[in-house]
Amino acid sequence: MEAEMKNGIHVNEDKLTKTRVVKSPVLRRILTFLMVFGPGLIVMEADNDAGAVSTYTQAGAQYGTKLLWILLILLPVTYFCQEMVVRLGIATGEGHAAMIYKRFGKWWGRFSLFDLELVNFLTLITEFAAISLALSKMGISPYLSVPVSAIGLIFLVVSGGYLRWERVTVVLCLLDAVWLVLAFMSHAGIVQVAHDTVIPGMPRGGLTTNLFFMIIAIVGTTVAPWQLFFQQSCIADKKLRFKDLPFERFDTLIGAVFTVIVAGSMMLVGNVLFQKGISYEDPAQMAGILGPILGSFAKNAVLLLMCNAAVLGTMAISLSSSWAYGEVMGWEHTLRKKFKEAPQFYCFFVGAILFAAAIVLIPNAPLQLIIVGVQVLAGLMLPSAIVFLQLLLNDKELLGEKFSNKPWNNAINWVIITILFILSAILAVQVMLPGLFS
Amino acid sequence: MKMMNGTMHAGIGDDYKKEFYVVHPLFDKPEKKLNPDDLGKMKMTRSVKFSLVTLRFYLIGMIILAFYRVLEMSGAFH
Repeated sequence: MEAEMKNGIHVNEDKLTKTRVVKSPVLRRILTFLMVFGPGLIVMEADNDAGAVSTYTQAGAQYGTKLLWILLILLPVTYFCQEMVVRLGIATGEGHAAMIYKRFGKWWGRFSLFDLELVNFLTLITEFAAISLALSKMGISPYLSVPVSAIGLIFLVVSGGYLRWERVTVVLCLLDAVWLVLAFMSHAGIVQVAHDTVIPGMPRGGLTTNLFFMIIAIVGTTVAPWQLFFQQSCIADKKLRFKDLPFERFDTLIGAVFTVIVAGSMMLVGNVLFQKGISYEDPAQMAGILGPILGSFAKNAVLLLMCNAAVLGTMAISLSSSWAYGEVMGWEHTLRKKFKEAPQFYCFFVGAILFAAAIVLIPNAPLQLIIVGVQVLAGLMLPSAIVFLQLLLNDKELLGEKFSNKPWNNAINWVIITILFILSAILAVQVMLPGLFS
Repeated sequence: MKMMNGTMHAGIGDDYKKEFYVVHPLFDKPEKKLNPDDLGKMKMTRSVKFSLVTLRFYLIGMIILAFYRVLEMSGAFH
C-alpha cells in the first residue's frame, strides 16, 4: 500500500477508486469488499444467458415447481468449482488457459483452447439469435437489433477500460432482479415453492427420458466450462491480491446465490404456463402468452430480460475467448489497456462478436446444427476442464499448502466431477445418437 | 506518523488516531505471484498420466462421433 504524504498530511489523490482512508477496521473491510466485488457476480449471472432463460422457463412450463430442488443442489456445486478458480487466479495472477498450457503441455493447452473457442463462438451465435428473436417480438427488425447490440457491446468493452466495463456489467447483472418481480407476480404458492425447493421430488409420471434430459440440461446450463476461464482471467486482469481472497470468495458466493435465485424465478415464470396447461415453445412465445395473463409489463419484461441475458452472455463468453487466446498467444490481453496498446486482444474480441452477429443475419443459417454443436462440445468440455482444474489445485509444487486443495475440497470435487462426467457424457451421446434413448 | 500494513497511526500528544488505507486492486503495487514459468510441466503420478491418456482417447472418440452426427444432420449421408 502506498500513502502519499505532503508536509505530514495525507493527500488522497483519487477519491473515487484508487485510495481511500477510513477510520474503522469494519469500514475498511466493507470498502475493500466493494472494490473487489465484481468478477464473482458477473461470472455467475452471465451464466444465466439466453440458453439458460430457455432451459429454466421450459423446466417450469413442463414440470411446474418440481425441479426447483435441483437448483439448490447446484448452488454449492457451482460455488465450489468457481472457488477453485478464484484461488488459482489470485495465487498465480494468470488465466486458466495459460495455466493448462504451462502445466500440462501443448497438446492439452491447444485442445482446451480450441474446444473453448469453438464452443464459445457457437454459443455467441445462439446469443445473437436470442436477441434477434426477443426484439422481433417487440417489432424491431433483426437487421437493426443484432448490429446495434453488437456495436454496443464492442463500444462498452473497447472504449471504457476495466472499471467502466465492470460497473456497467454489474448493473446489467443486477437488472436480472426483475425476474424476482415477475416470479412474485406469477402467484406461485409460497408453501409449494418452499417445499419443492428443499425436498427433492419427481414430477407426476416419474423419471421419463425427457425429464432426465431436462435435469441434465439444467445441470449443464448452471455449470459451464467458459466460466472457469472467464473468472480466472478476470481476476488476473483486475490484479486481485492475496489478501483479496476471502472477499472474492464472498463475491462468488453472492453471485452463486443470486444466480440460483434468478434461475428459480425463471422457473416460476414458466410455471404460469404449467398451471394454465399451455404448451411451451420458447421464451418469446411464453412472453406472448404471459401478456394477457400477467399484463403487458410481464410480456415486455420477459423479452427485455431475455435480451439482457443474451447481452451478458455474449460479453462474458467473448471476453473469456479473447482472454484465453491472448494468454496462450502471449499477446497483451487486458481491459486495462487501450485499443492501440492491446490491438490483437481487442481485434479478436471485435472479430468474434461481428462474425457471430453476421451469421445470425444470414437467411436460413443452420441454427439447429449450431445448437447441437454447443450442447455436444459443452458436454465434452466440462468434465475435462474440471479435471484439469482439480489437478491444478492439487499442484503443491506451484501453489504450496496455502492455496492448494485440502482433502475435504478434493472429496467434494471428485464427487462433483464424477457426476458431471456421467451426465455430460450421456447428454453428448444423446445429442449425437438420439435413437439410443428412445 | 508511521504507517504499517495499511494502518496509519498519528500521534498528537497522548491522543491516538488510527486510519486505515484501502487501495483498489487495480491501483495497488503489483504483488509477486506464484510463477509456473520456471516449473515446466506438472509432475504426475502414473495413475494420473494413465487417466489423462484415457481422457484424451475418450475426447477424440467423442469428437469423431460429433463430426459424424453433424455430417448426418447436414444430409451428407443421404
